[in-house]
Amino acid sequence: MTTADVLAPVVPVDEEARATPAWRTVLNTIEGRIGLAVGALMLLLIAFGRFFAPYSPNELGVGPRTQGPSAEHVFGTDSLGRDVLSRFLSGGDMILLVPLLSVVLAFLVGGGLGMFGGYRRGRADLVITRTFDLLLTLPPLLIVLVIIAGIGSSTAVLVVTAALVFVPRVGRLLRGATQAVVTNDYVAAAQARGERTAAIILREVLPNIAASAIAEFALRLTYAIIFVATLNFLGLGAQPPNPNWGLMVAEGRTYIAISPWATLLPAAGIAALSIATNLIADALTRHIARDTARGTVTL
Amino acid sequence: MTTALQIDGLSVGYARADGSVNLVVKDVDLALEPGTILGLAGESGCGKSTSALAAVGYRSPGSRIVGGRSLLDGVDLLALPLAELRSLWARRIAYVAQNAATALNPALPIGRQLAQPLVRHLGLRGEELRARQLELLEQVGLPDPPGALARYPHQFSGGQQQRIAIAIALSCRPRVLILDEPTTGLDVTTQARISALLRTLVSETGVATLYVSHDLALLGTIADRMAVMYGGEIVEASSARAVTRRPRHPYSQALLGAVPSAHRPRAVAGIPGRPPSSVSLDACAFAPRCAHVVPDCTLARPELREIEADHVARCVRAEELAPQPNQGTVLAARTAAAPEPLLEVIDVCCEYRHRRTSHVVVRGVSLAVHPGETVGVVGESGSGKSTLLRAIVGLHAPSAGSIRLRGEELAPTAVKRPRAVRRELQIVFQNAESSLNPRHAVGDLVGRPVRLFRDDVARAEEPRAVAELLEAVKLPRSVANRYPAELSGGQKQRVALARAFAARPSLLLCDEVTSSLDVSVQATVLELLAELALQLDTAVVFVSHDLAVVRTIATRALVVRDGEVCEQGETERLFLAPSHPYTQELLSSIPEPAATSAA
Amino acid sequence: MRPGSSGVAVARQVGLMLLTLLAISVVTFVATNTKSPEGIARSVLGRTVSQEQVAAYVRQQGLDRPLPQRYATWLGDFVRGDWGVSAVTQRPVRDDILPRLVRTLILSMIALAVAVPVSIAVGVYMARSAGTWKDLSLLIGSVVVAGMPEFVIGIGLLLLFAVTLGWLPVDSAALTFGTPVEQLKAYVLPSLTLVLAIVPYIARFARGAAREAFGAPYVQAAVLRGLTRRRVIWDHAMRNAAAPLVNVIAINLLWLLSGVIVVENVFAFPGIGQALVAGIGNADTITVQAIALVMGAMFVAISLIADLLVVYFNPRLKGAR
Repeated sequence: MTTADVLAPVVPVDEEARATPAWRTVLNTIEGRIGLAVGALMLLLIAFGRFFAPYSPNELGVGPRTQGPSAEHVFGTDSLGRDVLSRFLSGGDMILLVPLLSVVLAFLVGGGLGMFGGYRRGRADLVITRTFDLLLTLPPLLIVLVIIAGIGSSTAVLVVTAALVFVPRVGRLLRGATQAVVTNDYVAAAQARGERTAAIILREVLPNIAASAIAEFALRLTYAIIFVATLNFLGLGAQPPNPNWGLMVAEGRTYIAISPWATLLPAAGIAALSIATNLIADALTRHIARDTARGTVTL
Repeated sequence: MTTALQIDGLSVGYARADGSVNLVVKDVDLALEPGTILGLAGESGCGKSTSALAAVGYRSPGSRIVGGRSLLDGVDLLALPLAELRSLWARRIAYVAQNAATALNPALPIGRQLAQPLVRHLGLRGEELRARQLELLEQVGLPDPPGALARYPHQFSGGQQQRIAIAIALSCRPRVLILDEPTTGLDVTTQARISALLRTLVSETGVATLYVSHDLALLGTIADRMAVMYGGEIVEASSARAVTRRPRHPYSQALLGAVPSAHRPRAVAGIPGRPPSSVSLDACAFAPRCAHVVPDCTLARPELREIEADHVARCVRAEELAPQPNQGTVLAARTAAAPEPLLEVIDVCCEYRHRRTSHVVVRGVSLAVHPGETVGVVGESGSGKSTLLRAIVGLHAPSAGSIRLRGEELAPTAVKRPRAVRRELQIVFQNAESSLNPRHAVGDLVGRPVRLFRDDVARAEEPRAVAELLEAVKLPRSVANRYPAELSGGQKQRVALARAFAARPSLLLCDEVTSSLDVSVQATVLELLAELALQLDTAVVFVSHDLAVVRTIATRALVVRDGEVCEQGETERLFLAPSHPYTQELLSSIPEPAATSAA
Repeated sequence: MRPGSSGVAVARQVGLMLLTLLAISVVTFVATNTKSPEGIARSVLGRTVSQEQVAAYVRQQGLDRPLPQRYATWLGDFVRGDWGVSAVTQRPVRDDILPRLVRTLILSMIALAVAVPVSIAVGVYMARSAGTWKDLSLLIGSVVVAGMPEFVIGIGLLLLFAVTLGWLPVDSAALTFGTPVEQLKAYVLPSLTLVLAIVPYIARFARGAAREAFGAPYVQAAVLRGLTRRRVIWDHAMRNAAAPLVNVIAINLLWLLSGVIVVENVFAFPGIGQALVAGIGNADTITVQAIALVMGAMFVAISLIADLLVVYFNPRLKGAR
């Protein structure tokens, strides 16, 4: 056996150390699969459901008022004689769109600030953190209710106030993740090479926090859907006659004993959506936790 | 003298997902006699900690005792039910885990933690209990025992925490004491004191002790008997003196040859290859890495045979080989070529600011490095040596003083320095886990400095340059496509070296680069470093807490304490005749592995 | 333990809390007073009203003064107990809010008293049987329940227990008109909804904290000292889990107060949450301002207690060394 052979052995592939990409894990776990399946179903329903509605969602008196399921109206009618199924198939878009927009906005603003503060440290970080802390002490629902009471509600108001609620939470999480990464010597090595802040954040930091960021996105989306649906339920979001699911639940609640589907169908729709995102978020989070313990976090 | 703990044929494995068992320890025989210390030596992954824990009867999640007995005064601990084991643990047999800081509950005052076994096993109460607690704390040399009882673990230093853990272990006067790397991670001087304490306690109390450690030098000084483990088996056992002075097994010889010495100039010889990840059942475990291997070695698993009186070894060629540690080639042979200094550090001070307070870690340090020489910087943790290095490379702006490269003053932060300067100064960090971005492939990691600094390499030629660098650090080219997580600690550190040399620096700064590595891997990396530095004519500043390593590799050395230079000069003169009391204290704290070519 | 540093920490916490309360009051006041003085007057008096009446109202209510001054007056009045008169009901706001506040507090306390012990017990149980199907099914169950909005949980419970089974009332009218037994029954569904809304979060966290604590090296060390399993779990492991657990419970507590607003609306429960939403719907700004400030004070008080508890449980924060 020559020295060369001994010194340069074949590097065995450590199967355990090869990390599983995130999407693969989501598909591997039961909850991930259920979440994806239900989520995909709801997405299709929200996007294309309206084309399958048997009646026009806002047309009054297509059927008798407040009646339970029947042959013409599979899920019954509401107090104004509108078909429940048709309204359901047409009313889901804001329940998904508004939360999605607000979370994206929160990530851009909060995430950007959090990453910057976590990397830079010093005075900038102090200011950013204190702002986050102050915003976090404010009770979310209360503040948003009060703001809407004053300014009135519209899609833009909902998106911005929800985003405002999430900015400090997302910011804090991404700041923490950035801080954890920044203590590593590979960041110091890049600094010693004289690389610039932006380059370091993009090349060295971002790939290492991407996994946490995506898990947090899914989780935040869950909360956003719940939050926005709740606002709509309380009558502070879309206004009648919009077939918004949250609004439908509130309207149908008064005659729940007579025509239960008027409330149950939209409620189930909201729940299905938020549960789906929660299952996906959970699958992602557990994947990250396991890989962090092993030291092989990857996207 | 009856044997306190007799371990016969212990075999331990871990259960795999499919139900089969991965054997990690096989046929371990150990005998612990009262009042003596048996050292169990080996590198990480050899199974020594697993054996120690299994011998106590503790079943870690997923582990399986595949065979053997552990007889405590005749009773087999491995066959006892948990309830009975609980009554024996701490009372008759005590275990001290590796990292004391984590073995103490951060939420309870130490008085309570000390009291719990005393109350449970001996039923002590009130005055009697308190008296015993104070007695124990005094015995382990903890200052202010009454006050200490009410304090929490985090209020003590690392060394003190370890003393407390030892006090808890000895509280019920057990027959047997098992220590798993009790001084690893502590400062050299603290290590010396704790080891001395243990030696004293063992003689005073007559407890039979098993001392597990990777530090052969240490074991050579405090253990009475010694056993060496490799690949899950005992490969050699005898008195400590015999094993360290006249090792019979090629692995022991190679391991002792890899241990650097602070007390005489010795070269180190690394052991190529990697240790096995599981027990080999049908061949000699060390054969793939052995310099004396013959075809017979791979035919069957060698038996543990008596080579001479009271000295066993697991090798078919044990009688033929000369019983001495391996010799390496001398590393520290370079001296300064030119009188003009390459780097000058003049009266540099560094501090850390936190809110209103500032903490000075480097006070007026001056040093000069000449082209082609290797300078060692020695100090314990907190001495400021790492901060000094970071200041030189531009990661930490000094609060006073200046740093000059070839006479030109350097900007305090790297980003403000010209590219040429950044190319000339490269740094390698201690922990390769943390210095290699896990999301970048090895090829990208090594290629980055090539892209940034090597004007002589065109874009298209970069892969070739990377492959050459990997070869220079004795890694196969295919590693370029791998990710750091797939490599071992030693391999990662070699990648870090390749990355540092990629820029063809004139000065390489090494920050404790071998401190996290096993002794044999450390030796390999040191050999590599010395070879490459010589080849590429790179000066090196080597920071370490390990005097032995510095002695092995540096021609000049500085001793640093609390941010100040105590002493500096030629390595040989410094070590042979240290003038500063601190240097003398450091040197006397270091255990010396038994003399080598004394014969 | 140096008392000085604990005292400083407490004082800082209290200061921060007061600052928060101030912030809440500012946001509330500014948000509810975005309309011009005339606009406010008209919304109270109605459309068919003359310019002079509007001007007279503005003068009378002091709406022509600058905003900061009005804010100071409002805050001053509030602290002294004068919460204003609702323009919608024409009654002093305080008389309406106080009984509602009591009911909301009772509801929250019941929910908390049930949710916390149940969550911890479930969490520890899950940790001890980690990896088994018991743990897995509870995990998925908790993800599903946690993923549902509170009002959906409420509607679901309503459909099951009130509409289908008929065991419990459909709304909370009993609280105003019914017998004590009926009143008690009216508390059940709303508190159950709140409990179900919180338990998954705390139980999940307790599970994680317990698992981490079980795997800690000092737990292994404690076992090797021959201590009993019960002592190891509760004295060693859970003690270290206590601090983060208190933190999570505190966060969920705040969230519970938000949830109360929603739940009250699902069940038409006559608490301050329902009054708040109703007030917003009726543009009853005086009532909305008062309730917002009261709830804000509740939030802040609970945050303070939680922070103090966290410090108590964490020896490192007690300022030693």
